[in-house]
Amino acid sequence: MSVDRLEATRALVEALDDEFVVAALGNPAYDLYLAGDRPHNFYMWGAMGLACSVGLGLAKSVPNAKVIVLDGDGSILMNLGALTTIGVERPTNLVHIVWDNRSYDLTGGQPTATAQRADLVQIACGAGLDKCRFVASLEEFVSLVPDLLEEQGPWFVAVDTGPTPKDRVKPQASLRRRFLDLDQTIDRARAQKWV
Amino acid sequence: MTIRPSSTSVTATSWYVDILDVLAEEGVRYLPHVPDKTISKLLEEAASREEFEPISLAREEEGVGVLAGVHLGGERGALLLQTSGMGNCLNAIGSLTAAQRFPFLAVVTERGGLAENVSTQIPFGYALPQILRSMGVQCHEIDDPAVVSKATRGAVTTAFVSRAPVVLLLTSFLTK
Repeated sequence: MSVDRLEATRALVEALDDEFVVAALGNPAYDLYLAGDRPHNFYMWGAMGLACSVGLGLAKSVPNAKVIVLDGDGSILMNLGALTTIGVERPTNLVHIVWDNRSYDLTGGQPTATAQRADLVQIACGAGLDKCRFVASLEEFVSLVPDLLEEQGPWFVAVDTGPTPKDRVKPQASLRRRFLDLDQTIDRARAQKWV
Repeated sequence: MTIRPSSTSVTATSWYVDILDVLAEEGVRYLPHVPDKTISKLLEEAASREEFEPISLAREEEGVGVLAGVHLGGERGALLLQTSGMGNCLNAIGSLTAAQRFPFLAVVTERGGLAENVSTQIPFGYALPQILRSMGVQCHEIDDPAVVSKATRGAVTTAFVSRAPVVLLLTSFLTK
């Protein structure tokens, strides 16, 4: 049985304290907002594929905090070279989670390469990431979360998620205002460096 | 492009040392980059100085994301690349940098300008300043060694204080 992405996002956010979260545009950002807005969240609304690159830059500049990237299969397939960059830089505080529903969900569910033959976990391992996992159930994801937050990475986790339920809310109006407010995140980053 | 007669006076330092001195003074620490023969002089110098943290990218577009992340972390960075790499960055500059008002500073070594000997560099390279300006990205062509420090300091102010995206385009008259 595949994982409900919003349920998994909620389970993750519940376990967070002062970790930063970067969400790719579309469903990862919507679900992160629905799971609970917090100053440490950064929501993208463009630049498809670059969430993990933003995460890398943030992880390098806040080395004492964990940075979690919530990505999609369509997004990361657009920027696979970035995995090799992360593989070389090896930021131990970076956790890259890809919600893999094997489709371009927001544009009508067209299949991505992971619906065919591409295997993101093998790609990430091949790119030099240290800890790569495939997760197929919510239970498995929930039990992995403490390791993601406590153990050094870089982590790469592909989560087998199903199609988004038709009645799932898209909090676009709220996000439209929130995504311009970068200062909340920057203030947290600066504050944590002076603790 | 402005073409000035090449200076006969001996400059005290190289263009890349001038740029790095200003970046270091201004706290621009993170340097995502894709190498190129010319900008590698700057990269080698940066790698030898502890004020800098170079990050080698697979593709230049990643650097737009990395710089956004560095800003979220309360730090400063600049992207180092050649002209053709700016082509790989354009949508990200529009939909991340400009849309969310991130600072953006790039130091670009010019290809496709006067005396370019690789024809494939010309169609995009020669058009780059116009393309950038049409997106609201400032593009300043630097060909005089005497102005490198001032131009770099000015670009830092434009990028990080006024939050206007800015590219310093180093022409072959400066770097060759």
